[in-house]
Amino acid sequence: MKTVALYSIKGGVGKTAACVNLAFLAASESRHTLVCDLDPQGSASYYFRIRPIPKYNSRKFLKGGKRIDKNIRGTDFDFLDLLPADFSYRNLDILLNEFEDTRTCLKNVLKTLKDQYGYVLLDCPPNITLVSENIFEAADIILVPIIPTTLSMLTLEKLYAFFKVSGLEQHKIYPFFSMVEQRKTMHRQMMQELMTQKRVLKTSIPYSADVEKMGLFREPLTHYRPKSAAAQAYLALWQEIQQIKLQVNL
Amino acid sequence: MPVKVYAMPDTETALALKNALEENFSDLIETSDSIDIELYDTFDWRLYKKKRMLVKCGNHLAIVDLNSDANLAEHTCRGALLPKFWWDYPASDFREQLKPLAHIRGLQCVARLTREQTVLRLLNEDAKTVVRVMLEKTVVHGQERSTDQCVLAPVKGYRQEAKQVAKLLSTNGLKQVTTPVYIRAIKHAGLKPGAYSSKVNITLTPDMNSQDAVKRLLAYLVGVMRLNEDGVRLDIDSEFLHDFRVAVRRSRSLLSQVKGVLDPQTTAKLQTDLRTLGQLTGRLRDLDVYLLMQSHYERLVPEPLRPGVIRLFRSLKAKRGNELKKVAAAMASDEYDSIITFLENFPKQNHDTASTPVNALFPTIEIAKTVIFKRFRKIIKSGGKITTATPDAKIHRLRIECKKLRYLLEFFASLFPTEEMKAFIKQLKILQDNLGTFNDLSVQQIFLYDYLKTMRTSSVNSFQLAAATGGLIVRLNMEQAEVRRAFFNVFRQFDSKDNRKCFTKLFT
Repeated sequence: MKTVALYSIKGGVGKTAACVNLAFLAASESRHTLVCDLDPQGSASYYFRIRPIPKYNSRKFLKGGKRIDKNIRGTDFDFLDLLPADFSYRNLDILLNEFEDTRTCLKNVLKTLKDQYGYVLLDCPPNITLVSENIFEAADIILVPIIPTTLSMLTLEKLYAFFKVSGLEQHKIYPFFSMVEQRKTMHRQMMQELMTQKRVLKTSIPYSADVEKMGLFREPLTHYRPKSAAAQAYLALWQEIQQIKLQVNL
Repeated sequence: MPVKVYAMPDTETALALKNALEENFSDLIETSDSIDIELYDTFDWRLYKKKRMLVKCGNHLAIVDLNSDANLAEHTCRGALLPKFWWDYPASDFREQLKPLAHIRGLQCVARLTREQTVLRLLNEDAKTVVRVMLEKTVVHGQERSTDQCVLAPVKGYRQEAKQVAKLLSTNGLKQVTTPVYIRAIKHAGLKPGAYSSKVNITLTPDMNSQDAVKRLLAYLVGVMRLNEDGVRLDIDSEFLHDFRVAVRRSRSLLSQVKGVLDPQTTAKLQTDLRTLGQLTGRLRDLDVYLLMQSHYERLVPEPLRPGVIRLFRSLKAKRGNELKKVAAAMASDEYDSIITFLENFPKQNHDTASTPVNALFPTIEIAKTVIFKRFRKIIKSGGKITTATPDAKIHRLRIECKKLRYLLEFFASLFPTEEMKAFIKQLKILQDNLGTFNDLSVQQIFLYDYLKTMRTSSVNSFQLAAATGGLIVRLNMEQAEVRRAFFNVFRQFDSKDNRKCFTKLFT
């Protein structure tokens, strides 16, 4: 089982859109795939038309095992399941302190799913907290969408700094450009600049109205408009991720 | 909740069901598609008999468990053609599972079907799919009637909705089924999976007259020859010729052992015809037997001699190709046609009762007991005389006697208690295995000697070839000595008091 996290300290950078589309692509290769919606806003769940489940909450999530399995929902697509988020996830941090494995709790919870799924994709909430640390421990690859702007660059710097200080594995971090508008000089310059400094994935996701419309269609773009530029970019990104997977021998 | 499969009785029920589903769910989306399915098995249904089937959709292949309809192993073919033998597949779990199922037999398409599927996605108020229901019509190519079923595929986490549909299905009178749809479909189409077997499967009655019994047996054996003809011609695998020849041998054995049942002229004509069929195919069968030994022979010699063995088999393969052409041509000839037609028609004819041979009207059980007991006594007598000094030829003769007895027991098995017959055949088989191995080893050595004699000694390759052949002869000779040593023990067990007693009780 490979765990791929879609993570960013900033919100609105295209995490959930990437997560939903990459998960769909993984499942379309007949690999059992689970989207784990960790964001209390529940956007990934919304895209798949799956409602929050009554009686399910963050405590049950952290206890794992059967309590999780009972709450996993099949999506409309073969091989693709989703564990919906609950609003109580907003307090996941506080709850984590109650557990012995404060930093590796999520990793241990996901371990129980290893026989069922080939891929787990984590749609992460935008912040840097104890939950994030759990994500960093649990994920094999951390995909970080970055809009090519000054502020995004700064937050990426902060992420690397945090990994260094906390003794986390920096090589797991794979930034990629998201919501790119090629006509903007600033975007082009920023991309060039970052690529000289850091290892960034080659594929970038263009800014696209199609992606925004996913909220209307409530389906992965890669499913309902697979030929669109953005869908093609997600496909290229997924193929590139599989290449890294080979390199780091996951 | 697992996937559930229901038989669909008729079109009206399907319509009523669809209406009921529409009423009970917020929305229903319907899509249709159609796929072609091919079923593969060996000619003698080896997969089916072990509750398996090889199912091909497009270029995707799966070994399916017929009890659970689950895929046990999968393989994607490169081209449209399916590799025939298990050893033609790349090393994989699929190949390992196929190996014991098909063994040396080739895979053939046993049926082509088309499945038309209507998928009904049942949606909740968020337009989310909560249950899938598939209405499927499966038709065997060339048939009109379809086998209809309804599949309930729950979506994980939507248990209540699936239960609701299951209830609707049963209130509409649908019943769950477990046999996979393609098996039901081919049975509906009149195919009899598992029907062919090379074993003699004939039920005789004790008091039927002997002539009728012999005719029935012959008709059956000629039927087996007929069924295997195409497989020989098309060279599907080596077992077609083997089964063909066994049927010929059994027929000859029947005629020579059960005497005085048919008139002498007919018997003579039948024997000549059957001998012709045997001679026609003998050389090809010998080559088949050697070719099946290739990997065994490669393992018998040390590494440096292996290229020689491979060369030897390359030349055998070429010889076999020529031999096959000869056999195929012979089978297409008028002579063959007249022989097989005579064999086929003869048992159907009513023979002149005025010149009825002596044993023709005897009850079958009496004749059976007499000939079986006679053969058994002969074996015990000549087997007991064998010592370490006995020439090989005598041991070969004993092998033939045992084979004759075995055939008799198979012909008349239906007249005697099953359990005792089984136990006795088991004993006989152990003896036959020993004698058979001994014979195979000496035939192989003779063959290799003959091969050495015809070899041209001009090239470097021929030295390698000769060395490998010599090496093989030595190994085979050692093995043969071992088998001969084991004979005495095996025979002593066959000749045991218990065995004799059991035999006398059954056949006198």
